[in-house]
Amino acid sequence: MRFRFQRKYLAIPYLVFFLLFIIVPVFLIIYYAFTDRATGLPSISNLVNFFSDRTNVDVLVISLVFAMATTLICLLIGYPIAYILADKKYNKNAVIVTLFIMPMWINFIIRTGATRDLLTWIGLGGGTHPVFATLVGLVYNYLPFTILPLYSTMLKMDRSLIDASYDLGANPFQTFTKVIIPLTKPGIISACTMVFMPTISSYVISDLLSEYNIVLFGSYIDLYFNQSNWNFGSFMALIMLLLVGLSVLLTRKFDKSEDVRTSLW
Amino acid sequence: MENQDYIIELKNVRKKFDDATDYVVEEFNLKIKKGEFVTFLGPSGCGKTTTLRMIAGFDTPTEGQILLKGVDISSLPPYKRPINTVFQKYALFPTMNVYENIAFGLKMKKVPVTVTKNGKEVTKMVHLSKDVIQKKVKKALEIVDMEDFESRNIQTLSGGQQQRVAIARAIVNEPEILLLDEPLGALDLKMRKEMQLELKAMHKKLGITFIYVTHDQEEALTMSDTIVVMSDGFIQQVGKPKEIYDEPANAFVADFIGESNIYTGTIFPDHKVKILNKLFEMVDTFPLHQKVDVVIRPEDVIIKEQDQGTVNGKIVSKIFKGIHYQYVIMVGKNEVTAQSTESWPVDSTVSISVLPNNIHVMKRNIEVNIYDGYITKNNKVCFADFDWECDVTTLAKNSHINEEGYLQTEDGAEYDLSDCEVKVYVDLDKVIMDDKVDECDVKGQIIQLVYKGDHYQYLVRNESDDFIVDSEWTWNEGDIVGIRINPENIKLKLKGDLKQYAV
Repeated sequence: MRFRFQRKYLAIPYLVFFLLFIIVPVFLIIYYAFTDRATGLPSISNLVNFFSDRTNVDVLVISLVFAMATTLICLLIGYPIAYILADKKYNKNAVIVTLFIMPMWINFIIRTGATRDLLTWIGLGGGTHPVFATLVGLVYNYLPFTILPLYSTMLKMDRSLIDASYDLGANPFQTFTKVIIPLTKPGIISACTMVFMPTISSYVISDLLSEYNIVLFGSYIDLYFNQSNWNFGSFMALIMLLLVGLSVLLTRKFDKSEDVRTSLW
Repeated sequence: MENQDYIIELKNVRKKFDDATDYVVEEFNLKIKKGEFVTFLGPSGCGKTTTLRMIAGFDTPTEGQILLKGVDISSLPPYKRPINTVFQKYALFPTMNVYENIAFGLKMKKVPVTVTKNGKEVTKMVHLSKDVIQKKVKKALEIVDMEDFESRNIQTLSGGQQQRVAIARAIVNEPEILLLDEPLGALDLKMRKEMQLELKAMHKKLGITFIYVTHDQEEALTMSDTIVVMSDGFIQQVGKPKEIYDEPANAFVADFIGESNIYTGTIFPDHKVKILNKLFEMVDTFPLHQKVDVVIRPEDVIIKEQDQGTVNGKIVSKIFKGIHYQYVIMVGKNEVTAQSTESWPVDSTVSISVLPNNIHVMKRNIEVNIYDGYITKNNKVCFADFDWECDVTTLAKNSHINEEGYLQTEDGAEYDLSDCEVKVYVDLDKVIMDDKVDECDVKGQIIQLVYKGDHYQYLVRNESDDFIVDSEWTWNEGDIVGIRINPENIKLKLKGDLKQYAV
């Protein structure tokens, strides 16, 4: 029989990629997570070990707190910036947007190294102020990811709605809380997910900036993998996967009221 | 106070946007009575929406005052003005349903309430109660005939329904003035006609002052008590619909309101005006020999058998319009549009006449382009941001340009004309519009055009100046054209005395 090229064959590379890099690794993680390291037999010893040691849970909680704090700070800084950038009056030819996005062009390890040196130089380095330094590093790295989705939602926002709000007697503060925030909610949600999810698992930034004073969940997993404890590391990776999945579900629920989904997830 | 009869008054209002050089609204003076239905009518870009936005408070006038019941509100923010707006594209909040949209203004509102506190009477500002808001929203929905739509999502409504919600959202606040910015623009014709009548009825019922912005002359004529015709930032005419239709103040108004024949005529003795190469009787009094614009409405043209009327012409087209026929009759080189219920065959020669009081004669606005310019070093004249070739020897009799580039007169005196200020005159028909835009040094955009029987009169604008151009060629509004003027057609006149430029 002669081989006949069909359009569906074009999907084969993607299918292979999908299998090799997504499906297989996920099953590997699950497999390792539920097998005993010593015997190699299926067991729940990793689960028991994880929850019986306070340190593990503490590291998880600290990571969550750092992720939430970073998200919040990024929003507080990024929102006004995005708002100003989306106003053509201030941002002619989108030059300023490019300036804010530019750090993304440089590898983040180089950026983080520079941040560390700068902070140490002004006396706020990780040795003395580990929490501060880590937060600065995280916020600095993820701020562009906050600004970008917010900026694009605000660009699409119909400015006549703000006029309408003023017209109906709402002062600038009321207009902000009652009209502008609800209108930019899709942007806020995708900004949150874009910051929250990677910060939970980030560890290079905290390692470099806190000079190993702060151990986040990501570094913890890294630690176990480096010690060739694949089973315990995989179990923790699974927990993180579940947490990220949960946050996606949560934001979906938030976003349910929107008829047109404009957020990233 | 003397202003109390008027709910709102605009005094010498001018508006220029930050980065622009031209004013979009100029010398706007208008008084509006309480309960009046006023329409701002004009082509797009005439400044009507900007004026409305200044009344609403979204834009502040560059100069002048806006008085609300005699109090200057020009710098008051929009949320402090008792004025509400129905926006062109409705601007309904997509994050709220119909009820929440309408209730928005009421929820923001605070009303003074007198309460007794420790034996003292204290006036407190409180929000409206939920019941009051609900009642008011229900009533507003009733007025716009949308009772069952309270909990509907905005996106699920049709254009007409959104329009009604937008109106309800504005009137629920019981404003002193309701501003409507082309509110029916997005609706289809049938819907628009219906809404026109409904809006008019609503206006009667509510007794609120309506200020309505539209570019649709029919809409303006149907709905308004007073029409303000605007063009190019200026008020052209203010009047009742009938006044504006019957007695247009100038050719622009005549052309914009209804269909009309517009000609350039000359005044002759005994109340006669010469148009279409014949003398027509008129009622107005004008100085002899003056050039005037003459407006004749198509329905006022009387068609008769050949030689029975004032002037003969040939019917070149005939269109049936339902209750009448519309004819185009060529009289010499001029077109006359006429309407008649009688049927005349195409290509037949007929005679037309017009009753004296149907001949509307008005002063001609512009007969020549005048610019302020100066002579450059190489004896060109600079105006409209360009150095034009011209003949500077016309500035002094029997003069010529000598080798040094100075102007030399008969008696040998030399004059250095560089930087000397001149008035520049260019006849309307001597400005040439060229469609080879790239080959011309001066470009402009056609802002406005008026058909004047045998030619068009264009207003062409470039960054620095306007050109009024008479041309028999057809162009469209918005076209970019090149501008040429032959050197011999640029007439110069010195502003000062020639002597001061002596070398």
